[in-house]
Amino acid sequence: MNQSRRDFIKANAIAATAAAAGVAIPASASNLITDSDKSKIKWDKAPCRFCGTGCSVLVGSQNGKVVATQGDPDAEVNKGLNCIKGYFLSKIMYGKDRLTQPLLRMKDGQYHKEGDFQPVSWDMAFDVMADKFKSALKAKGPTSVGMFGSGQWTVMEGYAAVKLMKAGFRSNNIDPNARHCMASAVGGFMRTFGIDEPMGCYDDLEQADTFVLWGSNMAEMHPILWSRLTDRRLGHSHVRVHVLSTYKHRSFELADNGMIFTPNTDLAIANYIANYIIQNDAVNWDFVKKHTHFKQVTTDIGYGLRPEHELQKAAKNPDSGKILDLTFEEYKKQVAEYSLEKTVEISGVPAEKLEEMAKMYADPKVKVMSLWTMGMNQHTRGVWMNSLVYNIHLLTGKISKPGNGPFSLTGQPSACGTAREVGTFSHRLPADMVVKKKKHRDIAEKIWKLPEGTIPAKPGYHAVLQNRMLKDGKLNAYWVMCNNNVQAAPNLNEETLPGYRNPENFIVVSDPYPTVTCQAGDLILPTAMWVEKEGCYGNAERRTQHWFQQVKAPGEAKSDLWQLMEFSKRFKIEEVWDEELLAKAPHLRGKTMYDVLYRNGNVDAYPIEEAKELNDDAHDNGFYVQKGLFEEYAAFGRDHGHDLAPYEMYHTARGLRWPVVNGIETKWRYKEGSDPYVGKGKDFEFYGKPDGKALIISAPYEAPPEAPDSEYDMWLCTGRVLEHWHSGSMTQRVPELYRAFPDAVVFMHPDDAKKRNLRRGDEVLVESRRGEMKSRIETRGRNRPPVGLVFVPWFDARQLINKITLDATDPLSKQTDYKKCAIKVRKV
Amino acid sequence: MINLLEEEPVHIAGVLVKAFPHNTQAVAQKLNALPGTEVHEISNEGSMVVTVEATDKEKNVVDIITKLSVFEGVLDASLIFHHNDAGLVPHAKNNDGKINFK
Repeated sequence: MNQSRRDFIKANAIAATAAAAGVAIPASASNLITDSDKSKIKWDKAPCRFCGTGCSVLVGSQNGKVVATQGDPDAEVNKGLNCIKGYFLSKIMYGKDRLTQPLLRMKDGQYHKEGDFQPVSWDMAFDVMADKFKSALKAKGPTSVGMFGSGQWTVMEGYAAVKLMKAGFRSNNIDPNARHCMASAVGGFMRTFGIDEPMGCYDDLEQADTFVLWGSNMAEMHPILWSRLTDRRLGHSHVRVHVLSTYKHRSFELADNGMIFTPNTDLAIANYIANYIIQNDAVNWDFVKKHTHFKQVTTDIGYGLRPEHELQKAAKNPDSGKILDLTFEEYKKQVAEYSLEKTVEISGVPAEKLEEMAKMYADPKVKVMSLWTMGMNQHTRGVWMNSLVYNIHLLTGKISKPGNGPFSLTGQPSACGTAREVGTFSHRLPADMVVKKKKHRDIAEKIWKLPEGTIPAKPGYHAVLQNRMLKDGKLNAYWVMCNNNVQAAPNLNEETLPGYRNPENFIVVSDPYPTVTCQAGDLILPTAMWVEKEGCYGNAERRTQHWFQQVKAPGEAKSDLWQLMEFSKRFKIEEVWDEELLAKAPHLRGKTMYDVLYRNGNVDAYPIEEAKELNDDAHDNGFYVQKGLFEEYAAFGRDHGHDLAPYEMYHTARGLRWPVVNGIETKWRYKEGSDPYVGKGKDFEFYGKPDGKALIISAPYEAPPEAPDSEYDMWLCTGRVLEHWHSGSMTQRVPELYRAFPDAVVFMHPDDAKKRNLRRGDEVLVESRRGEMKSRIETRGRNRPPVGLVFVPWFDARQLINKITLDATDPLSKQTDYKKCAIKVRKV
Repeated sequence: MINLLEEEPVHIAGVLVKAFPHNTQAVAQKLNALPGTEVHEISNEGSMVVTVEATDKEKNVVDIITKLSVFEGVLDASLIFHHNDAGLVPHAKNNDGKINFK
C-alpha cells in the first residue's frame, strides 16, 4: 500500500468537504478524478436521474462508459452536494441484467400470451406490436389502445408520446406515473390559482424563518434540500422547524416541534390553523380583499373506487369537484368547527404543539415556508388538503415572497417538466390546457398543423382506471414506458395483475431492466437511459435542465423517443384516422403517422448539423429531433406564462426557472417586481384566474375509506427510504445501495411487536382484505411509528406491498392513497 | 504525479455531516468510533468534515455513510467527495479484458 497516495486522496476528500461546509482549510478543493488531464475522463453536466429536487451532477465518461459522477459546484440547486443515491448515478446503467434486445413471449416461433420470453429483432417486435395495436383499433376503436408513461421521460419524449396518442391514435388513454405522486398537487394548484406549479422556489429555503413539513420526510426523500434547510436552521437561532407526520422519522431529529397525527386528520389541523388566524385577528385583510375569493368544496364525494363499491354507492356526490360560492362569514363559521379542543381530539396532537405552529403562521413578522410531497398528495382528499394549506398562506398574505410561501415538492425528476408541463395526463394538453375545452384543442391542433377535431374531447383512462379497464377487457393494446407500474400501482392482486395477464390484452413494457412490470408483460423493449440520450427535465421549482448524450446505450437498447417515433412509422394515417377527419386534410393521405406528427415542418425544422456528433436519436432521424420537439412544444407556453428559453440557452445554464422572459428567469410568481406577468400597480396578480384572484377553498375533515377495526387492527403507511428510489429498479442494481438497505422491513412500535409476540427480525405476514406479504419486523432504526401504525417501504420487488394497498383515490385528482389502509400483522 | 496503475484501489469518501452545535462533540466522538471514519473539523454552526475510508473489515464505505446519515444526533449527511479508483480503467479490467463496473 502506497501510503502517500492514500494520504493525498484523503487530503482532497477533506478539502472538498470543508469547502462545501464553508469551513476553511487551505488546500485545493479539486476532486482528483475530475482532473481530465490526469485521468482522461470527459466531464459534462446532467440533472440527476432520481427525485424531483433536480440536482445537477457532473458526469465523467471514459471509453464510452460513465465512470464517475460528482455534485456540480456551479449548480444553484445542490451547490456541489450529492445525496447517496446521486453519488452512485454512474452505476445505474451497468447493472448485470441490463436489457439489450427486445424480448417477446413466444411458443413455436410465434407470439403467444402464455409463451416464454425469447429474444427477437426490433423489426419483429414492432411487427407484432403494430399488428396488436391495429387489431384493437379495428375491433374497438381508439379507446382500446393506451399508454402508461412517466415523470422520468425527458420533456421531448413525453411530448412525442402525447402527440402519438392524442393526435396519432386519437386516444386520450395516456397517463403518467406522476398520477400516483403529483396529481393532487396539480388539482390544488389549478383550483386555487388556475395555473400549475409552485409560485416560489428553492431560494425560499435560505430566507424563511419557519418551516412546516406537512407529512414530508425531507431528510430521506429530498436530502439536498434538507441540507439547505438544515443550514438555515443551524445558522440562524430564530429559525424553527415544525414536522407533521403519522410516524416519527429522520426529519424529527432537526424538528423544534415534531407532531404525530392520526392518519387523514391533517384536514382538521389545517382548518384549525385557519380558525386560529381568524380568531386572533391575524387575517391580512388588505391582501385577502384585493387578491382572493372565498369558496367551498362539494362534500361527501366518495373515494375513487369502482362505481359498484359499497363506499362509492354510499357517497352523496361521488367524484364532484364543483366549487360553491361562500362569504367570509360563512367560511369563518365553517372553520370555527375546528377549535383547538376538537382538533386535539381528532388528530391526537397535543394542544401546545398545535398552538405553537398556528402562532407562527399567524405572526405577520414570521416568514413561513410550508413543504409537502406524498403525505399530502397520496390522500383521498389530497386536492382539498393542498388547497387548505394555500388557504393559510392566502389568509395571511404569506405567499409569492422570498421565504414566504407554500411549496409542493416533487418525487420524480421531470414530474413537473414532462408530466405536468407537457401534459401527459389523460385529461391534459401542454401548458395547463385540457382536452375537454374546444379552445384548447384548437390551439394544439393549430400548432401541430392538424385538422380541427383530431384530438378527442373526452378525457381518457387515468392510471388506476387503466388497470381496471385492462382487467375488464376494454383496454387491449397497452404500452408501459419508463416506469414500473406493476410494482407501483395499488391493489396488485385484484386489479393490476389480472389486467396485464388478461388473454385479450397485449402489454408492451419499455425498460432498461427486467422489472416485475416487464415480467408481467408480453413484449419487453430494451431502453436507453439518462445520458445515453439527449434530453431535458423540469424540477419542482420550475427549473428546466438540459443534458447532452454522453455515452452510447448498450446492445440494441434504444431511447423511448426512438421507440415512439419508430413505431409511428408502422401506421399509415388511414389506419388510425377515420374518413371524416381525413376528408378535412386530404394532403395527409398516404402519409405515415411519423410523417404527419414528426415531419410537420416544426419537429424537423433544425438540421442535423446543429446536433452533437454523439446524438443517436438525431442521427437516426436525420434532423435535430430534440430541438425540433422542444421548440414546437415551447410554442404552447410562450407569451402565456409558461415561457421557456430558446433551446440553446439550456445547453450551458444549470437550468432556468420559467417563465423565462427576455432571457430572465422568474423566482417568485404573481408578485409585482419579480414576475413580469403581473400588471403594473397590481402588487399581486394570480393571473391563472380570469380576475387575477386566488381562491380560498373551504373543505371539511372527512373520514378515510378504510381505517383499522377489530380484525385489521393497524394502519399501513408506505413510502421510500434514503437509499432507494421508487421501485428500486435502478438503485437496487447499485451494489453499494443494495447492500446498504437490501430488503424492505415492517417498521413497528415495540409495544405492538410485544403484543403480537414478535421480536426484531422475526418473519411476519402482513395482511389486508386484498392480499398478503411476508416481511421482517424492525422495531428500531430510522422510522418509529406510533402504536397502531406500521411503515413499509415499497422499493423491494421481492416484497410487493401493493398486494396489500387499496386502490382508493382522491375522486378529484384520481391519485391513489398509499398512505393509509387497514392491515393485520402476525408471526409466520 | 498520481499513478493510477499502482497497487490496491483506494476508496475514500468525504462527507459533510451536520448536528446541533451543542451536540457536535458527542456526535463526533461516536462517529470516530465507526470503522474507517474520522472527523477532521467541526464548525461553530454544527458542520463536521468527515472522511470514511474502506478498511479490511469494512470494505463498503457506503454502508458506513448510510449508517451515519441515520445516526442518532446527525441531522444531515451529504456525500461531497468520493474516490474509488476501482472504477477506473486501470483497475477495472477483469481477466477476460472486459471492464468491470462492479
